[in-house]
Amino acid sequence: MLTPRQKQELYILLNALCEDTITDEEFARLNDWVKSNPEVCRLYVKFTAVWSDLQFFQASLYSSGQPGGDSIQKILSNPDCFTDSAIWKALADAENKAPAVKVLPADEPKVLIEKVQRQKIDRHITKSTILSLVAAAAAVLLFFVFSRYAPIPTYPEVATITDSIATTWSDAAGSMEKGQRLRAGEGPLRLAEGLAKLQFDNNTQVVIEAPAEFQILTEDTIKLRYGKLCATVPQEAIGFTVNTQTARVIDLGTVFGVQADISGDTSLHVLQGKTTLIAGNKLNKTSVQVDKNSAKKVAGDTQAVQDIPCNDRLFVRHINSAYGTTWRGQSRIYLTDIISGGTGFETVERTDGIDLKTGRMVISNSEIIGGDRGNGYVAVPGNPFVDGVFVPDGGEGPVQVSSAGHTFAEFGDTGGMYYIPIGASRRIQVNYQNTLVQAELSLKEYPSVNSCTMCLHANAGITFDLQKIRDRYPVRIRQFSTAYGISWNDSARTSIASDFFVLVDGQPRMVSKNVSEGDGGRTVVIPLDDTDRFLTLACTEGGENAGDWALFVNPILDLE
Amino acid sequence: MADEKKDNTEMYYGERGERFMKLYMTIQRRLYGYAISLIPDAGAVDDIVQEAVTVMWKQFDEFEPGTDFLAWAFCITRNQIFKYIKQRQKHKRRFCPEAMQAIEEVIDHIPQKPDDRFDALRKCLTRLSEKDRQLLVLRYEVGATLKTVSQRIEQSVNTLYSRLYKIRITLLNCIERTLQDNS
Repeated sequence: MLTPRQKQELYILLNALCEDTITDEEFARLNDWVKSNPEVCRLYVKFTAVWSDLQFFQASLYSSGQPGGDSIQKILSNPDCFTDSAIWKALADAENKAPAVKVLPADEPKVLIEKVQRQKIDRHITKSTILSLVAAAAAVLLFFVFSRYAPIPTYPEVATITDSIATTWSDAAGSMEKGQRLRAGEGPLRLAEGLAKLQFDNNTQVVIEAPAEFQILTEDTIKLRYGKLCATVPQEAIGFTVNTQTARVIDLGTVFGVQADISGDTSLHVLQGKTTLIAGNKLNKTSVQVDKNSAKKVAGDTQAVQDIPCNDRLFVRHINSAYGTTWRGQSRIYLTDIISGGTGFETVERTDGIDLKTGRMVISNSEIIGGDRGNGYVAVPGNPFVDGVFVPDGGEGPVQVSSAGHTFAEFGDTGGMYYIPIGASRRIQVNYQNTLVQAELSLKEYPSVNSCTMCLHANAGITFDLQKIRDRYPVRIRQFSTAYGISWNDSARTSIASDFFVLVDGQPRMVSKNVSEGDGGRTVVIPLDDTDRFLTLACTEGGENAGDWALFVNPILDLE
Repeated sequence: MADEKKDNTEMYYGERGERFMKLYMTIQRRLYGYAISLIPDAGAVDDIVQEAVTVMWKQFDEFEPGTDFLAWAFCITRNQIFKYIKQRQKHKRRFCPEAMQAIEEVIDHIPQKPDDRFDALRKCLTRLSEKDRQLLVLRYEVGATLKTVSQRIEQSVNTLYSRLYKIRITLLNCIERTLQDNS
């Protein structure tokens, strides 16, 4: 005999079963209980009978041909009719609307039917007879199946895989390539490797990071058993919901990330807007609102909710398989990282650079050049974001500064020589009399260990293609900022005076002439708009034609 | 000659369809209940019962008139369930064979006619409050979720979850009492 407490536990499990919130562990508990306890098994069967009959009541409503419409409203406005006339009228309507089936008159001699049945096995049937048979069978089946079961729809398509990078799917029934439509209610999908981007028909975008197991439950609900996902929910899709084993996240117009562990732990990080977090699967639930830049964790075992630091880089928000790029919401691009062949988002130390004559990516510190002439405007094929490099020499006339043919005529007459590759590192080292010397700005606010420095030892110029950044990441480039100056230990620091230039599409946005070591570091911020494409940085040597260890410290593109 | 064949075919399928329909209508609710007990997933049961009805229609000539149509239908449906499980090895709501056997034994021994239970449900529905009846109508609407219902009637999902829990238990207890009283 079940105790009241056990009965309550069983009913909670059964209710969760009806509402599709039962967890794997809870179902396993139910399975064991049904298998081993006859009383539980009897209660289970009775409960599912009620469930089934309620489905039938509603099926009857829909058989009236007005799903969600007048039938419902009629019942809402007059509840008394719920259990009587409406149901049976709806059933009767369904019968009336069924396709006509020719039935023999009651007094038809039965011998005729037997005769017809014998003819059925006659092998000499015409093609038209076969078609008639198929059509008749289909009509009857349609009547039986759809008039009775139409209320329970087949799985509708609600989302599309719009992009993926290096994905491996486990147990996927069909192709999971780009463009694959996904149905609500289908079995769970397991992403063993890579990243996949789903777009729901309500325009919600979800990026899922492997390893992950998820299931699309409805047109605006996804269940994440484990793994990470980031949802970007537009205004029209507010209410988008992510279920995990222990929690439910309801969007209130946001960008948010959910991480679910196999143990049941769930972390929610709200990156924009706000959400409602509901912890727990049973009647004992906790509901809290989680706002932008906040994060909560639901413990898998106790389902307790606790504050955790919001990590706005934890989730991949955007992928672009055409370029193999991912974006985690970074708000800055470091041009030093780009010069070194990186994605622009990192500040790790590299020593790579770009040779000004060939455009090749080189290890800058190992290249010791005694002085060479440039080769005009040179493309940099090994670096997608660098349009080209050049050795500026105004003595030869206007200098090309972009692949689109922009030119700049205000560089000084430099003689057209360069000495080392363009380099970017936390520790810029310059060859001076066969000894590598670290170049750095003298001001305390630019300590080399904390700064990313680009060295444009005169004469040097480099142009970045901002559009290629926009192509790869869903960002707007708001501004360019940098500090610049001459290294304090320049070999001829007492006499040099270099000229610094920042151009946009060939137009000067900053020209700073005769900058010397004694000037320390200067800062410049240049606003950019969506039409600005080519950003050029250049430095030309001072009048003494010596040294010119020109540095750009923390050259950054700010994004939004 | 062609017209005569056509008439014969229509008569054959009309009479066959009528017999099938008469039998099927007596068991359809019980068949659905049987399937959902073994695979407690309304979406899966939809597929399974559709397939089962298709098979029953195709094999109807093999059904021996006068024998137990329900048992025959259960047998076909059971096969469809196992076929479904085999095709979807990872289906979450899959009872183990022992549990399925226990459930089938209980179903086999249900004394009441299915109409008795359905009538009891109708009576018990009339005893619910108007609001609870409205909630049931909305909850079992096609494609409805707790969330869509909560938006429609402006109540929290938590509240609806609890209310539906109580309604289901109330109905279950009421049906049991009604069936006992009738017997």
